[in-house]
Amino acid sequence: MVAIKHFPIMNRFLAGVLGVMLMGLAGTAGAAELLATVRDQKAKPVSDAVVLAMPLDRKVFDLARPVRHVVDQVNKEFVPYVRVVFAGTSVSFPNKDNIRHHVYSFSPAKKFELALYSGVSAPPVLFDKAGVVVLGCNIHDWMIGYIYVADTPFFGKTEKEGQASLENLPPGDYQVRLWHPDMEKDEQATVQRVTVTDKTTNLAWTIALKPSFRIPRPTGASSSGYR
Amino acid sequence: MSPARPGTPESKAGIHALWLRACCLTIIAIAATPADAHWSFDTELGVSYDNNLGNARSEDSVGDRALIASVAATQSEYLEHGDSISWGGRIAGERYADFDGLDNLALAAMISYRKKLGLGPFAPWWRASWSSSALAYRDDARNGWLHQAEVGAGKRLSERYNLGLTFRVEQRKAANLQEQGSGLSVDAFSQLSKSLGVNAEYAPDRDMVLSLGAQLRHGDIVSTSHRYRQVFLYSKAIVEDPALGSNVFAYRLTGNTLILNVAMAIFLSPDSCVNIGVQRALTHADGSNNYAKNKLAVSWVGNF
Repeated sequence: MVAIKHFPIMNRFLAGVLGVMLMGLAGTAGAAELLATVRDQKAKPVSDAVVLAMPLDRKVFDLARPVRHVVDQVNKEFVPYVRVVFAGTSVSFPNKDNIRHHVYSFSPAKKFELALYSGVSAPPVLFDKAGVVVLGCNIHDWMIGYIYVADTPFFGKTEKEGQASLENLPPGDYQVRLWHPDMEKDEQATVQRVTVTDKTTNLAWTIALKPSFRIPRPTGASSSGYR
Repeated sequence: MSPARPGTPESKAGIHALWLRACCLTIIAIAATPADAHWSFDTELGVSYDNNLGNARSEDSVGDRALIASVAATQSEYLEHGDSISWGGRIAGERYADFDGLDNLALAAMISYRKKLGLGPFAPWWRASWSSSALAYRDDARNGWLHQAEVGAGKRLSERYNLGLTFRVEQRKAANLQEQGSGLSVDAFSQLSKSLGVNAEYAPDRDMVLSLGAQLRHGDIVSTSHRYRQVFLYSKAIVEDPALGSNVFAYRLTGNTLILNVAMAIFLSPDSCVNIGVQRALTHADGSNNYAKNKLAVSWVGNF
């Protein structure tokens, strides 16, 4: 079964259904967990790192059916900051603020624009091409978020402790790689090859991160001018 | 008409009238707001120190510290392509430690239109804005209206660097004029000026913004000092200025001022920050009447 721990309950349920289908296709008797630990160059846990497990036998996700995901806008920020979806997934962008947002992306993986809207009136957006999609709001320039469109249905995202668990992977050989918004090197430099059996497999990375920086919010200071 | 003296019932009535106007405008604004509209409130609370309150020569300069506070309520309507119209009001007050004649309240109404020339944070923009403020001082001679028209443009160069330009025309119209004597005008606190400014911002990290600004201002300035022939000869208006002491006079002159600003904003949360700002103003007025003033302000700003 494929289950990613940070999914909401419904998504986890659907992911579980997908996993059961995949397991059946793979014809395996059991499934295992891959536990990824990510730290930075100062040995601090790294959150929001995307962990992607690409099976060498691609048949295991032939029947994968993407589930719908959500990226909220709360207090003029995208929530979550990083969302991972499987290619072919639709994502909704509900606006939970009491002002309108104008969500857009220039990224080659998906160019789109949801002009001024409030509530849940914006239609879902289909992300059908693998890659990184950077989100912005044309009203609030400091808002930034990421959608990582994965080319594999086996993925997870690290939490504050720097760990991500990819559960119920069909046993087999995988190439596992990482992506993070502030990662200095290309994700291909992080590839590790691993054979997943019916036991927990631990993988660890130490990655170099650039200093995290975002456009500041306006300061709101008044200027009394010259008197 | 004689000006009200500081602390008299007449001067207090001016401040009370301004409060009344503020309350009425607030009630009207809230009543006129559609149910789904959103007001944004910016609150500022801080202290300031000005080492030359009267823009005087060094021998006459007096300094004082003040408490500053303001609340601004703004509503924005976002249009297509990132354009927006904003309107609102602001009430601001200053309370001085020693020169209480300068204690004041300002009630402002403002409107602005902002046009963004593209999509995304690095698209350039321009803005036109207007504001009108009613000014009420404890010393009524400074009461009046302040009107400001401004056009500005800006562009964010990167996540860390931001650049802006402004051109402003400012008119201040005194409300209370003393009786006209023979000779020179007593309308010293009415001023007209134009200024051109540039401001650059740099964010060294995500919780701090440093800004550096320069402004060239041309127009009327008011300088308060003792009687000097050189000042008198070039003055367009003169009036007693008891707010800054006895036997001193406010002179309206024409001059050029270079204003330099350095400021630092430290974010405490996404919606609040501490601002520390230093301003130095160098004025060259007609008749080689030159003045310098420095101002320091520290304030907390919160957005709700």
